[in-house]
Amino acid sequence: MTSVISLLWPEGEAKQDPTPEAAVFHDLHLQEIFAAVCLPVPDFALVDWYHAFPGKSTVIRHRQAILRDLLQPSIRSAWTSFTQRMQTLRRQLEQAQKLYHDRQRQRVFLDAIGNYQTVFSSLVDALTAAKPRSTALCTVLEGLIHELQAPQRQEMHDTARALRQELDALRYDLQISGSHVSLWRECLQRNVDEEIVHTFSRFLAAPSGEENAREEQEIGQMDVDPVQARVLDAIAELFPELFARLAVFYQRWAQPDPQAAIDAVPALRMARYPFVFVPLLHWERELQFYLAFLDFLSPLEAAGLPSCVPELCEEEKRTHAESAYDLALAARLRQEQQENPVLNDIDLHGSERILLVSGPNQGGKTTYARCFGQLHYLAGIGLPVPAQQAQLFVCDAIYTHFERREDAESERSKLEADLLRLRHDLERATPRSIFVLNELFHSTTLDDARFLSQELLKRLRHLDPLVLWVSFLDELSRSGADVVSILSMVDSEEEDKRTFRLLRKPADGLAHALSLARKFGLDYPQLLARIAHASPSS
Amino acid sequence: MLPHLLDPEKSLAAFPASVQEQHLVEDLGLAPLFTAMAEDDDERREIVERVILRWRCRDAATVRYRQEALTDLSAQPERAEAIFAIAQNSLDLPGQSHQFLLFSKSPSRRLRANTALMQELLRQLQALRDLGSATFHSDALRKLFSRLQQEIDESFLQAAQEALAALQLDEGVRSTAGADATGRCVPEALHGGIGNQGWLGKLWRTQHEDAGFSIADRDETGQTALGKLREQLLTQTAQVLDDAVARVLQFFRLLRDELHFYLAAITLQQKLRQQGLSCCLPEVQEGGGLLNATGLYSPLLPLRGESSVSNDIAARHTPLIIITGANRGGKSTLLRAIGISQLWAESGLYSFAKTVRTGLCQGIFSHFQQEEDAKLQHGKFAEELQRMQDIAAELRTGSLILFNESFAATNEQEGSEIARQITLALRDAGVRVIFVTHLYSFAKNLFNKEGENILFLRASAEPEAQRFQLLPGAPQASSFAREIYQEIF
Repeated sequence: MTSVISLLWPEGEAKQDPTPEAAVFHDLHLQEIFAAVCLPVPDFALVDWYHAFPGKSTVIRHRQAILRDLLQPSIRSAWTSFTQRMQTLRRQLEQAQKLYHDRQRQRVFLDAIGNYQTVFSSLVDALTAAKPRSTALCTVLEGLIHELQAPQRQEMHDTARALRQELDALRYDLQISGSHVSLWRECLQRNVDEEIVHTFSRFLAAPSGEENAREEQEIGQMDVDPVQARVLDAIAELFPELFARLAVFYQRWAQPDPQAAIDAVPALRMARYPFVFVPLLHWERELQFYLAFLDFLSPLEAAGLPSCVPELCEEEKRTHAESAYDLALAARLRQEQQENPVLNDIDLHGSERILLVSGPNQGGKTTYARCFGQLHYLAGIGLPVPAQQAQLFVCDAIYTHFERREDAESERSKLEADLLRLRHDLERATPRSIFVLNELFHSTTLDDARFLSQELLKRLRHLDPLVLWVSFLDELSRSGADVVSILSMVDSEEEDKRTFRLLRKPADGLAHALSLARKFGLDYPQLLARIAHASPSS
Repeated sequence: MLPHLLDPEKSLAAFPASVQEQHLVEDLGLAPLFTAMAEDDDERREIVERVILRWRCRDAATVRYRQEALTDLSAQPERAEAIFAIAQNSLDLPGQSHQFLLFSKSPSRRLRANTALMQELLRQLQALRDLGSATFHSDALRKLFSRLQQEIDESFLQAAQEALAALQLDEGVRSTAGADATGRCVPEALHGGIGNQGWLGKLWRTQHEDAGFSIADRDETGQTALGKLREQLLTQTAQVLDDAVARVLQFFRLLRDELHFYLAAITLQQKLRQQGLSCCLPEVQEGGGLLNATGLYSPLLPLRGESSVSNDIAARHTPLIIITGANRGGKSTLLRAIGISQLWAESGLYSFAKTVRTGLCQGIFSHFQQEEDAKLQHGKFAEELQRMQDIAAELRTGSLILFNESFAATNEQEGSEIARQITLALRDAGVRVIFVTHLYSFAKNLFNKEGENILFLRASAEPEAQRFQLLPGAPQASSFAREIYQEIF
């Protein structure tokens, strides 16, 4: 194989993307989302990838192609079960490496290598059957097949299997009398267990339940005890040739390179063993970028919350999403209250550039702003977005400015800092950028706020980015055709209202009781049908 | 090998209790009957409840199978007690000796304890086998003893003794073993102890080992590990012997439990006989309507020391009985007497009557008006309907349901209409129904429009002598409540 393909960046693309300011993750609650995404898979150290924003459609398209493949259940489960089994294997290896008794360590590694081969080839089988479409995953599959069929790996596989079979099949007689242990190569025939089973089989088995608690092998104590160690050595004495071959095999395939540095990413540490195909470790980790996020979405999807791979708008400044929601809020609501958030639509097209959100407090304005930012951020790093369907503008950067009321600074220095940061961002931003502004000048006087807002509006118009602006100054929304007004509603007509309706009706003797009977399925036709249905037809 | 005293093909098992069966116990007042049968023996009482409520006979042949076994055992109560005693003694053995060893985690301790226990169980099995003789006539008991003679024969006893002898492990233990994926020794087949193997043991002791090692006496860690390995060699065998003991005990447990049922039935019968009351073996058929009975009484009254009233009923070809008439006129007592008689007949026991001929039902259910509950007054009618809905989910063609003043928690007009629809739906679905009611419109309506093939019984408010005797008769408008009211005030 030539150069190793990446599943996050297309060929020729630098594998380093700019990291937006911390404020973006904080304001849009992306930090919360990515922390939750990474929580189940700490070994893969994914968070830096989520915090890097490529802002290029080449990268996004590369990722979306892979993402579409992973949305196929067969492809997704191929990789998910691969990773699950690899995680088990990683734990096994970690333990095996610490074993002090040489023969035991050799034996355990022999098994681990067998497991690795099985996991590897079942991945290849599952992927071959699932037929990925993206060039990236097709290339990966070709690479895997090539490696699996390589003569060296075949030889390793065959040797391991033969050794395992012979070791499993070996039998010897063991006797303990007093403090002495004897072993024989020849085995006697008598089997007392079978005699007892056979003799008492005329009595029927007692219903199980009160089984004696059997001692379980504790995972932590994998090392053999001194007597087990001596038995193992004695077995090696009985079958010297077999154990010599085991030692050679271990030397060749399992002995880690003592020079190799230990990788900072736990999931990549396996790379130091000669039996491991290293590119697969990197691919596995890169795919976790998608899979961990999809796993995070799964419970929300199960609760009926939509998500989709967005279409990209590059030429036109247009952005559109249906039934979108704040992902962080949704995850929190699901977990804490088992509720779903309200779904909203977002639309900007033609010459429109600014969504101006105003209206009463507690009406979901900030949530709407976060949702807008999250949609563009997630789309920009090639992930699915929290909406039923979406066409999203490909931005080169996202700038957020949220009012921070908790700051203990003086009003003046705070406003100064805010404006400085605004200017800095306006200088860096391009017409392809996105601004999310939330209650910017809340703490100034009304006149000052009005003045600053008008000034900011001018500058924004000059720069021409896409803007979502939450402001109590609804007059801003009337300042031009490029501004679209969004109003938050409280107690609107569509919202669920409980109805305790009272209707005056003439009293009707039988109607009440009979309708009650009907409700319980006890009127003549229902009851007759029910029993007839339940009875075996004669 | 199973006792099969209750069913020629099945053995008594645990069955989950149902809500409906609890209603039946309360509505028919079965608790005092169970107490009279089991006296203070909780275990016996549980068995009696289990069989009567959950394991009645599935066909008429099984009824006869149990009836014959019951006749056999009640003819020779001392033999029945002797069989029971052997079963009970065997079950008590593990408790008497080495209980702490039997539940030990250590395989070698369990082996030692179980070897002794099994020796004793073998003696009990022999004793039971030797009890058998030609004095039994029923299928159930004759087959039990012929099975014992076949299975507990000399070759079985010898094989068992040989296996137990191989478990004398004091001099050392030998086993075939392999190695697992963690390099540990895994025992596979125990050859037994070195002692008690006769010439084999000598051979084992002198055979030159291919490899070996000794653990020094002062090496404590080594000695502990060696002990552990020895226990490992015995683990599987200990489980196998645990299982063998459990199998034998399970046989004795089933034997004891199934005998509990018959002994309890004999106790109740003796109590009623002492009061001069008759019990009869009912003639049980499959299918048909309700029952024909003469001299049918409720055993609840005599057990309380009250005199019982007996009734005759002819409804073998009738699937529906409507009982109306005077309050405190014996309607509920008769309803309960029929229900109890049916339960006992289907369980393979005596009925409380001079003669009974009846069919097997697909489940017996009761829907009785609940005691007044001040808290629930508001939703009482809905509660009744809810309970009926729960029963309906379990009703099948051929079921029997007993109604006592049901659907009366609303006004007469509504209650009657609902009772009518439910009753007719049940009848038309092939469910057998007995309905005690003072809903006059309901009873009258059935009498006028559906009268054929319904038995109407009426409690009279006649003078003492005939009180509680129910006779066929059309529903009457008044329910005599006024008289009782005047009696009391």
